[in-house]
Amino acid sequence: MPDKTLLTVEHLQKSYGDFEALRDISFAAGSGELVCIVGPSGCGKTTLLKLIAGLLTPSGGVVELDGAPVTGPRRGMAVVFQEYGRSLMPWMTVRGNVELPLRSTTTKAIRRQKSQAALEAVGLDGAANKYPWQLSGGMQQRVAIARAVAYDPEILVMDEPFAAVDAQTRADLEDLVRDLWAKLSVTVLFVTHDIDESIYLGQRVIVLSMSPTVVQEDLVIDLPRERDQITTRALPRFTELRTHVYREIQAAKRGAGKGEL
Amino acid sequence: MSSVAQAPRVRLPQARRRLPQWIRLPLEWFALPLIIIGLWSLVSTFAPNTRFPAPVKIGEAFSANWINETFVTDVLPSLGRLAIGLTLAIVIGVTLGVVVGSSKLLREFLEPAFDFFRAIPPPMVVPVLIALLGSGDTMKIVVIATSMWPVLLNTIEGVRAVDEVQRETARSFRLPRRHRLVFLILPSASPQIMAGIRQAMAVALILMVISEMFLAVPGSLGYHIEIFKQNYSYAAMWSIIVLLGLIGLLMAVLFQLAERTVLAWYRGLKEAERA
Amino acid sequence: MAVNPTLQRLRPLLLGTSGVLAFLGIWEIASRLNWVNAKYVPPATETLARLGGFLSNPHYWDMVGNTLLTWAWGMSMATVAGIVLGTVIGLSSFLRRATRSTIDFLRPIPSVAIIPVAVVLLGPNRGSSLVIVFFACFFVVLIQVLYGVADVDPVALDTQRSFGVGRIRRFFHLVFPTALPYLMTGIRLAATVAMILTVTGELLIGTPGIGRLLQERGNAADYAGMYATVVTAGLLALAINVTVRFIERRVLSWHQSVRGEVLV
Repeated sequence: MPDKTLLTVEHLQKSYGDFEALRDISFAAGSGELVCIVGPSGCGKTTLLKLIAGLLTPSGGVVELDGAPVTGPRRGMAVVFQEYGRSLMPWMTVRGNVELPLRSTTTKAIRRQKSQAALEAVGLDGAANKYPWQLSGGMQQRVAIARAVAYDPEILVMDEPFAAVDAQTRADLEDLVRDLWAKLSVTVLFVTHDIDESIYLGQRVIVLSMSPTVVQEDLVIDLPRERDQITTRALPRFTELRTHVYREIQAAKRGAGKGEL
Repeated sequence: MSSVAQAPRVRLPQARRRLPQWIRLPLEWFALPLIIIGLWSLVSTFAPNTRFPAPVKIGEAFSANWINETFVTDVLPSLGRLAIGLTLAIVIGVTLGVVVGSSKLLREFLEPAFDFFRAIPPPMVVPVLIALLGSGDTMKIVVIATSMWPVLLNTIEGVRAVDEVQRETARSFRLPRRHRLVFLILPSASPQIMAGIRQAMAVALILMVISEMFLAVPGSLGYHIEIFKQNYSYAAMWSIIVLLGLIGLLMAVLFQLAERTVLAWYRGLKEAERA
Repeated sequence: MAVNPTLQRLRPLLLGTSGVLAFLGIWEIASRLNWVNAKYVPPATETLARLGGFLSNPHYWDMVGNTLLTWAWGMSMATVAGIVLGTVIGLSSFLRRATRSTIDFLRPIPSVAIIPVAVVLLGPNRGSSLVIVFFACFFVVLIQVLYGVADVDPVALDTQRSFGVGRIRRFFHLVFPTALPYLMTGIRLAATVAMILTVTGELLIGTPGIGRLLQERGNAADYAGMYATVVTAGLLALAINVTVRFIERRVLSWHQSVRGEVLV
């Protein structure tokens, strides 16, 4: 168990007029944990993520990072959006994009160092002077990840980053995330609709219900720390967990409550 | 011959023999213009008409009138005022456009009024501005600066249309306001802004000529136009068309160069999207 | 906190109207309090009153009608010529290349430059005005039609041609639908350009129209009248713009083009 809690979400609630998107979300993430959030389509995963990132204000409840409530985007948090094509700036090179968040806080030399290290970490140091639209979808998402990594965040928040990418590339990117997580000891909050992905990546999986959304289950993934696409996914325990989460989500879609299976 | 008479004739585009580039290109560029000039010269030799002087005469008039100190005393000041007026139009248009475009409230409040001002045909303001500002340089520059409306409205539109995901990205990384302006808003709106500038340039040129022709004061292009009219110097009048055509061409070329630099990324992006 | 949805929808209209009213208000105050020289800038109410007076003045409508006439004539001729030449040139790669330099040189020539020659040849009347209106609008339409025809899928064209589809049918079934959105853009742009040059002709050549009306009012030192004429010009241009956009939308609505706006 991690000794320090980095992020707490307490009774988070979000309504739009009469529509209650999130009713009561509570969970915590410890420093250095890799937590996945999974749920049926339309359950408000992206809304939850934006609330945590400080891009939306809650209607009730509180998000705390490092003990301080989140009222807006925080220095220690970096977001990787799902729509990588629209998140990168097409008028800047890859390096320009990665360095952009650092422009206001570091000198040119340090920026260079950090962007170079980040690009190497994601395997794109050869593409530094290319433009995002010259790269494939998977590579563009790597640039977005590099940008987040270069920012030196405490917590990396990823919103279904691989949803729009083909399966082959997705596998590579999943492993990239685990590598980076291990190397940089950063906390990762990973939202996805892909059950297999959430179990493969996460130390914990938080299953969400349908709207009005609550935490359906907070599941510990007791798979080995060292994972790879072939062996880990073939483990019997993987299949058990997968089935369990799948059933939870089916129950959530049917509108059943917590723990009812 | 084969009896496959019903089969469609398939044309192979590569099979055409083409002249080598270095012959073909100059030929394409100059063929039609030279033919036109040649025919014109021919006609004016055998059926001379004072109102359609031979191209040679126009050329003579051109060099006689413009390629001397008149250029410095009369054409350059006009161009100078054009440059100043246009710069003002661009600076004011973009600045105001960014401010208004960034606020939904301001936009909804001001856009109808702006749309009306933009609709007023620019030449209409010339007599009004002359009445208000006299006939000096200030008036002329202000007149040219009224070409700012396309820049303003296009900037507003460009700023409004900045991608929401990009805005959120900038917010999530806590980009300071000035960086958001320089690295997000202005580049994102630059295609629209450049389109607005192109329209403004065309209007500015017309306004420059009108503001000077209206009250022909020495020290301007318009003054000369008036003199030619009064003296019935036909060749000189035609030479004006050539001169203004060259000025217009120069502006178009300069703009294209600027656009090529500023919007290189945009062209690349659009090509990638189309692929 | 629920916001009244009707209010939400009306907000742009309300804000916009109050923007216009605010401008008129500032104008009124600035003039009455002499922040600007009230002699040259009479109050908004006086201007609007003068405009009201115009509406019952036949001379006013005569001028407005003249402007519209010049505008319409110039637009029509330019559009027809632009479509014809644009199609003929656009469909032939040889003609396109051969005329490129000529078009690129003639196009940036400001129509106003032609005024002296036009006046000398045709006299200071509507003919000269039409020449400059035509010259400017023709190129606008021509360029757009050229773009439009260039957008025709060459493979489709070749296929039709090699299967013996006649020229006329090719044109109507392939070329025309592809080029139509571009043509509509060209017409919309030309409508504005035509108005600018029509007014220019009236100011500099003396053709009857609102431009001349403006000068008449100016000569009579009737400043309120001048501003009223300017407002008229704006309203006229707006009406034309709205109408053209309406027609454009209608024409293109049954056109299954999902083309994005060409930035012009």
